[in-house]
Amino acid sequence: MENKTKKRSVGAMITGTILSGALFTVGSVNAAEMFSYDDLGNGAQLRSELLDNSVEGVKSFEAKCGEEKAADSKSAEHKCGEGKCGEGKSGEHKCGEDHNHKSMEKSSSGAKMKATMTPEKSGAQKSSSSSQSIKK
Amino acid sequence: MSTHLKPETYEQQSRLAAYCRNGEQPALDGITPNRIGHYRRLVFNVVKDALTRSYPLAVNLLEEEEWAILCNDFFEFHPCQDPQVWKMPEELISFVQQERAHLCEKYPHLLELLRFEWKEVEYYMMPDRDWPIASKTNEWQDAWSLNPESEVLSLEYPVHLKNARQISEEDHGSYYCLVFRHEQTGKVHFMNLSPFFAWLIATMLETPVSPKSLLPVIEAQFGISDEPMLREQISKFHQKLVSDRMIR
Repeated sequence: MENKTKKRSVGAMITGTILSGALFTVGSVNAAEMFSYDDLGNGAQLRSELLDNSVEGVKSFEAKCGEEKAADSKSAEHKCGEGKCGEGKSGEHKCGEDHNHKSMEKSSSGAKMKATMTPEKSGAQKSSSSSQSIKK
Repeated sequence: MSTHLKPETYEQQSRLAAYCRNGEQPALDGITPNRIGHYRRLVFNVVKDALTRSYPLAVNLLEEEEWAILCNDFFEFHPCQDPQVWKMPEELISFVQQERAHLCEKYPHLLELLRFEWKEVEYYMMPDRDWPIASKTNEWQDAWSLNPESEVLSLEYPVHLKNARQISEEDHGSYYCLVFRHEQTGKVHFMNLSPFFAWLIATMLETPVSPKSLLPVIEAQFGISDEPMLREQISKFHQKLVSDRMIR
């Protein structure tokens, strides 16, 4: 089969099922390539591999209360609407608060924000910084 | 406008929401000036946290300032449509596609990476699909009972194989990745597939057919005519999928 590179629109980059074999780029491959498959593991394992670190559970799917708690993948807990969310007990972590207590500041115009950014990954590929300003 | 709120209540809430997003001091009744800023901080942290947790690979790809600005602009300018917070990050994809052309130009694989990362969330959270109990079958002569919570992704960049920061235009091509949710653990799994196996699974997901019945198509489209070898390779693949709970 001739090697065909199909240029698709951005919206169709990821399609569901493609039934025509003609749409699958095969080119001149040997049997080993023709019948190859590679188990990439689950999402956490794949991310660890791609980011070249051992941090598991970077991604969680439940909306948490804005906290940025490192190395905690138990996303089912501490959801918004539960626990202390909305409570005003001083000294306790509230929804949306940052554990490092780095605050978002607002300029006199009210349009400047300073917030923390603490991705839960080692960031081996990227220089890391615990906080940064968001300026517009 | 909600019919359950008094107009003045709705107006107050809308002003507070606008303030949370744009930081411009609102004219609100009953606020304490030095405290209202906390609302904005808390809401923004929820949004940024959700985005960062949904797209860790994209976070790693973008420069820190780029990600921070993107989160901030998405928060301020994008009118989120879904009331469920966990779905909110999906809207970042269309925001980037429509409003951040410079990022898409700088990182040609960014959109695909975002879509790929969102697939995991989508499959993790999706409602269960019915998967009938299959009787003992022959992997060559019978149709496979494939996990209905699965899909073959067609990718132009190897976002599932390489660190996104190391992907370049030289990597542009055709890649296939099977994504499925494990029926017991609920975790979303990924498997890189050759074009042939990608086609085979995609075909079988669409229509339950046996590998044997596809033999003429396989020979015509992939040039494979060695049936014993094909059966052996398909059998190995089938065993792997069974062990991974992609096949019953």
